[in-house]
Amino acid sequence: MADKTTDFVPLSFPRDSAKPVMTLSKAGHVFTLTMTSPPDNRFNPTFVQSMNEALDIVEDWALKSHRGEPCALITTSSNDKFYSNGLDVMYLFKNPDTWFISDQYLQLLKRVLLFPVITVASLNGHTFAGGLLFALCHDYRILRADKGLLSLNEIDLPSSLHPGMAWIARAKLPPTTVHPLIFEPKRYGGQAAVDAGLVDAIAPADQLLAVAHKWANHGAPKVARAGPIVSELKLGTYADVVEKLDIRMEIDVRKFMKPKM
Amino acid sequence: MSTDFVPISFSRNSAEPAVKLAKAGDVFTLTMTAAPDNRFNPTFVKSINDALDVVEDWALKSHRGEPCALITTSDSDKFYSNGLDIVYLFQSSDTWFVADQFLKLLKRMLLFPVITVAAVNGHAFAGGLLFALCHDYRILRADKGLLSLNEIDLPSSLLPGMAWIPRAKLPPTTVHPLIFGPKRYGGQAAADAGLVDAIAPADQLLTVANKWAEKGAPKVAHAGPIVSELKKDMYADVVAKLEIRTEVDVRKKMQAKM
Repeated sequence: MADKTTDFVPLSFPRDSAKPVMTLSKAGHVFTLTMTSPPDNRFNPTFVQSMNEALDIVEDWALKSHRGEPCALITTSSNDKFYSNGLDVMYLFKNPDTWFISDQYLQLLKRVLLFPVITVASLNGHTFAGGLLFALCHDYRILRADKGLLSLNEIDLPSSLHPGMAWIARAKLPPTTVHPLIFEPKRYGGQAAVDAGLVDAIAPADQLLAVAHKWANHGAPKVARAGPIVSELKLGTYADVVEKLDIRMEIDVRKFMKPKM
Repeated sequence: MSTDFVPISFSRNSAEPAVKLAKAGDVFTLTMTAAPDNRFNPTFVKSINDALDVVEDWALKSHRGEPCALITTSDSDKFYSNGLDIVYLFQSSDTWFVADQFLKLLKRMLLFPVITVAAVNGHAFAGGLLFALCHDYRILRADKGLLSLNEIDLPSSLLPGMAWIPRAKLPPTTVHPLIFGPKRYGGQAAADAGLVDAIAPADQLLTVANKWAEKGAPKVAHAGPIVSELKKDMYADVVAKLEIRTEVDVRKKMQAKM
């Protein structure tokens, strides 16, 4: 069982909001970031900003205030149906925020990809499109065994993939998974997701967080011993993905997509 | 196993050679003999390069058009190679050794003009595993011997070329746990993970390695310098990163371990 003692008072984000989109708590060495943005944890400026604030706290803890101590991060969702359904397309339709994807969303993907502690995505529901890319930027993924599909459905929206988005899949997945994932688009769940290399393990719903904790606890000592070198190793291993994520492109979704509820 | 080659050791005339080179049939065997664990330092790298020069000259010049292949292995029952000689790097101020000698050797192995087979008869850790990954094939002892890239625990980062060898040669589902676990692989698990091509019992390891080497030996006979060119085409990205010169002062990064 995970160590339940905590030296951290849970926080929600945005701070002082009546409807937080994210909460951050800690048990033992492991922070858990829970996405709480109904209905399906979509990425828009408030969501990204909240996540960055939560990540700031974890990063500060691991590299500064508690440097030398074990630390890891789990992300999950409070929503039984979705881990995350990707970008907030409605927001992008209603606002001319054509730099949101490059400057906020992709930079968040890069941040998670290079995060200084070991990260575990606890996939308790559907993980689609930008939500799957976000999950793929973690060190490890644990998927609920009975429910929850993974899919990169851009081809059906239809939408192309920014170079960095495509390269996350290329770098992290076997080629025999990459092509069906993007071009069918194939949906993976349960053991098939493990076999395809999309997730590291599956677990029954009531054991999902416990299993995620096990993986997180195994990785927590890395930052204690290696400090900033964890991040350096991630940068060295995924230099090509980072380079592509840094490509700034103006993207106006209204030019190629229809809004869907 | 007839041979037209008298075994040599390197350094030549050394009482404690680091490397021995022998030949049986079409296959050269380079045995690492630098006790205790075949670590890469200037003497070791030079000895390997001298041995490789002999094989390269044989295959591309003096016996051009004849089959030829290379096995590397170790005479230590415990280690294939434990990587860089950290104690040497600590005690000398040789901050260009990694870039100019070790990485250059990795590049040479990666592009070697004959088919190469690593007969991994013991642990292959860190730089030793990277060296093995630069071969065409790897055969691992079935009962003993682990593979690991333990830089994260030293702790040490990986130079761009060092990180790119696993990216190019291994499935993504192996790369991440290998570097960030760091996961250790042995036996069938190493084969399943794509780290090695086959496993064999200890007493059959060299025989199996020879089988793979004999199968690859005709390549240079037929293709000559094109074997090397094909390797360069296939691994151009790894080569480009191995050529990046970075000064490395281990004293700044690591605690010396014996």
